[in-house]
Amino acid sequence: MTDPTKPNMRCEEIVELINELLDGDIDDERYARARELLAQNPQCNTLYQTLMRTIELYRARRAEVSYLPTPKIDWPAIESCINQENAS
Amino acid sequence: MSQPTEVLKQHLEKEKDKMFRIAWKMCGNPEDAQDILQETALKALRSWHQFRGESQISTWLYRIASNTCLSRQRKKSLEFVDPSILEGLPHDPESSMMPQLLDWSGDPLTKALNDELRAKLDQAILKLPELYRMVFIMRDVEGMSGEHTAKTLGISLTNVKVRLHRARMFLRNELEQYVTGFKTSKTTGQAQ
Repeated sequence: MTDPTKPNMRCEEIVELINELLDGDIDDERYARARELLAQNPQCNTLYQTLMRTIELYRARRAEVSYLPTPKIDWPAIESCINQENAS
Repeated sequence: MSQPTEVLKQHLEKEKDKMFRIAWKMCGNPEDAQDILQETALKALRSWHQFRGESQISTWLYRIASNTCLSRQRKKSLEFVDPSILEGLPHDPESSMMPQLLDWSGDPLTKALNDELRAKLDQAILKLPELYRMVFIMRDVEGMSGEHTAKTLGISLTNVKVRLHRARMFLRNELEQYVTGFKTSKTTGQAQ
């Protein structure tokens, strides 16, 4: 197992696995690999945890927005606009 | 209105909440988001006869909404975001370095939403270049699939993944700066 805290390590595999974990789109084999990696490398785990928290905070913000009044589409205004365009 | 138009109206009514939220996050205010929703509905009705059924109606509608959002943002030249802000982020797949990171995921400052954190989240997302912001909102905030996001924005799935990762990293780093900045100001007594 390589140590990601050491400089000059390629991050491609780590980043790919972490993004797959965040997406929830990961097969069993890669999930096990990701978990192994996170357990052995504190910096990778920190990256994963803080990315996860970032997404959670934005979802929580979205949930607040959901409580606001429902947006409205003004259909009469749209129909009137289209009728005017068709007439001219 | 004709029956096919009624079908379109039903789709718009079904998707309008999500479209409104995406537009709000893109623009940063509900007034612009409401305008974008109305403009999207008008454009969709105008061009409904051109819809060939090559994609799902919802994908087509989101494409109109996202294009309306993006063109509106571009007209506001003062709000132009320099894409170079995303260069040199740690953990870029093209990067070879893994710098030290601070684990603030359990920090009390980010445990629950408060006015200051809300403002920080809103400011940070508006700093992202438009397409990165749109991908982050569609994928991580609204939970749209990668394929749906790619089709809606007219970009490849790989491009969605790259943009999503960079957007996530940028926002993560902004929150890290918020946490470290707050702690520094507390210990030095300086206002942020």
